[in-house]
Amino acid sequence: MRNVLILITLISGLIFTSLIKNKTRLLEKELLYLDNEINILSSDLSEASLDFHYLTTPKRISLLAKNFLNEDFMHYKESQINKSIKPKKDLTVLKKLKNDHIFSQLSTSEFINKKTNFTKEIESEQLLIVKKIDSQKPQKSKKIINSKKAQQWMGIQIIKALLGIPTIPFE
Amino acid sequence: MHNKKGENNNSGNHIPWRTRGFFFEDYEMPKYEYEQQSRFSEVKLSLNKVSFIFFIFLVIAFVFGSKIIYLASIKKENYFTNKLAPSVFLKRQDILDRNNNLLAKNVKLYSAAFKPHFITNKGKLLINLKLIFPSIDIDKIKKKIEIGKYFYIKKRLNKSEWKKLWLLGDKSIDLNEKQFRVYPHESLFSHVLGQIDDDNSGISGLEKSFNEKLTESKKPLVLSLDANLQHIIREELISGNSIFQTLGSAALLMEIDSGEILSLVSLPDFDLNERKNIEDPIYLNKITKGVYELGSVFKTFTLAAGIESKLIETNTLFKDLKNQIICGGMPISEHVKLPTNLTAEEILVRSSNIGAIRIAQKIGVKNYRKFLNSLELFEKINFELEEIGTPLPFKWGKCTLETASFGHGITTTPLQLTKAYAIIGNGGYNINPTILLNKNISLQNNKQIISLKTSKTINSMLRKVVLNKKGTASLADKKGYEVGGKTGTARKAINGIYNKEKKINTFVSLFPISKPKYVLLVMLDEPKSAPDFVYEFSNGYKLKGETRNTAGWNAVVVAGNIIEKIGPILATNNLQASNKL
Repeated sequence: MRNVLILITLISGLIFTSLIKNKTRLLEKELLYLDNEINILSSDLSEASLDFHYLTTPKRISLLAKNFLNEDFMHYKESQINKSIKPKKDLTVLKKLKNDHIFSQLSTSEFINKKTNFTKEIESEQLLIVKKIDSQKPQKSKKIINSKKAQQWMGIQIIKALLGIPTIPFE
Repeated sequence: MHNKKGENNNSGNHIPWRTRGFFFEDYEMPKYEYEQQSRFSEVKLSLNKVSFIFFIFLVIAFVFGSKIIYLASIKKENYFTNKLAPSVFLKRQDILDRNNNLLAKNVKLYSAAFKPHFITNKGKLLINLKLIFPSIDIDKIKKKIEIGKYFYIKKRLNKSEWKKLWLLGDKSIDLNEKQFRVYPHESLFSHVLGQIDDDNSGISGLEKSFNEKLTESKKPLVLSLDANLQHIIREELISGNSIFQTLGSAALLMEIDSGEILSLVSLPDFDLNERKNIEDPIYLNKITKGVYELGSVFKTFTLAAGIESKLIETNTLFKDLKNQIICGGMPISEHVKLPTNLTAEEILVRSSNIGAIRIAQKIGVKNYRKFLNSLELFEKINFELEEIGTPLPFKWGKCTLETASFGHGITTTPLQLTKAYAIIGNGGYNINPTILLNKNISLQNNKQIISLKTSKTINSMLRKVVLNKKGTASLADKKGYEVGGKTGTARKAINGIYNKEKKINTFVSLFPISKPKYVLLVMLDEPKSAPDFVYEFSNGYKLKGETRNTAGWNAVVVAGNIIEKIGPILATNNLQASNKL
């Protein structure tokens, strides 16, 4: 019995040791392999980031913008923005809105008159805008079935009927 | 061998031999007992062996087990960086700007060198070389081969060149891996970053002053600079240089509370990727190394000293101001004809030299000197770069007070001037300019040099220099950015004589002046008048044919353009614009 125990201990010791050793070696190999992979990837990343940083330097971007963009995005003055906002009518409405506090200084009757005139003006402006939008809206495209398509469909249905295939109702 | 006990033994009843009585025969070991004893000792021996073997296995298992635990527990970073990461990435760390844009990086590249002693077929080799590098000077290579010493054919090979040379399989060609420093922004940060030598050691700029940190640290060096702002400012300076035909120019943008430098440009600059030995003084860093007489920008300090010592107020009137005075045999005059009676504020707004002298005389040498010293204008500044200028020493003799009051006869660096303006603007707190990103700077912990009241008074005066029609910096009035500042036009002293034509023009601005956040210094070296240039004022008025070349007609224009372009990036609250819309 003792001999058996000794033998089992010996063999199991041998097996466990070799197993642990092999496992360690495999782990180490895997680590080395992963490490190499990481190194390659980090080196690639480093090169790619360098490329990225070079390609996105302000100097290069402004050069590309100068060569390939029609618009000048560099600088726009406030006065130029004002000019681009026009038509004049919209601007006058905006100005009146801005000077709304003036109304508060006027007498109540004047204030009501001005206010009603002003609201009428805005309404008329709104109407104009709505009309403009309506005129610019594209008409809903109706489904127009031309004769050729109808003929084709009819032909297919006849053939289907002859062959005994159920026909699909026309939409 | 027969006895009574032996019979019992034979019957199978086991009586331990030690319990028996003493007989002579006992001296002889019975066979059975002998066998038993030998078996027992054998088992004992084999048990010892087993425990020994078991112990050995246990030790081995423990060793491997502990290694597994070690491998599992160690941080990957340390493991890789210490043992396996390629050394090329460890030699020198990256340098980044405040937005993590790459400013400098080490890369692994190959260099090709010749070992002349190993050349077998010189003719064939030279033909191959000419095929790979068509632009190579073969005669030069021949001469070097004849000398017989190891020499480089080309450094920084690209991949295809390396492959072609490697495929030649020639023993005499040495393809060695080397690391090189690459600067993606080329010349944009040349004066700040500096250069390194062949052994990857810094020889100038930040590369030198932070050499240890860059080589030993595991983290990149993060600067307070902003690549976008730097580019815009550089472009505007280049444009200004071409309009006003300058020798060079410089600009410095700094946060006034933290002292962090957002942009530092000095022109002309140089491409850091092309290693050059720069000896021409025109390439010196004008902001940190250049020491100049900066002129009327000092009047701000004269006014501040007067207000701080409660000797003058904004409306203090100075009567009978002459257009010219003689001091130490030298005439001192106004730059233009000014009224004889001016208030303290008008003296600054209209940049009156005689007025500044009168204020300084009221303050007195002792107090004025003490005030300027508190701003640390005449000491060598403590800064991260190696290239730092030391203001020229001077004696507070006869007329020094008078000339110093309007910025002549005393020198300082533009960096120190900007620092002093930042102190004036931020409520009077001392700051230390820095090029490193530091988020933990608290202004309140710093020493207060001037009072908040003086700071606010001076700020409002500086605003008037720009806003007032008669102010010298009205071309910098950019809507919404509330620019305030002071101009300075200083004649250059050549061989001890002030030259009328050669000037150093400076404009130091603070914005937005209601609660200043940034200080911008623009300096032009020897600008010329630009009669063909169309000056555009904030009220829409345009002017062409101007022949003056004082700071108000050039440095201010450049600064105004810079502020207009960097303002949106700095996200300065554009009050006027937001009110209008």
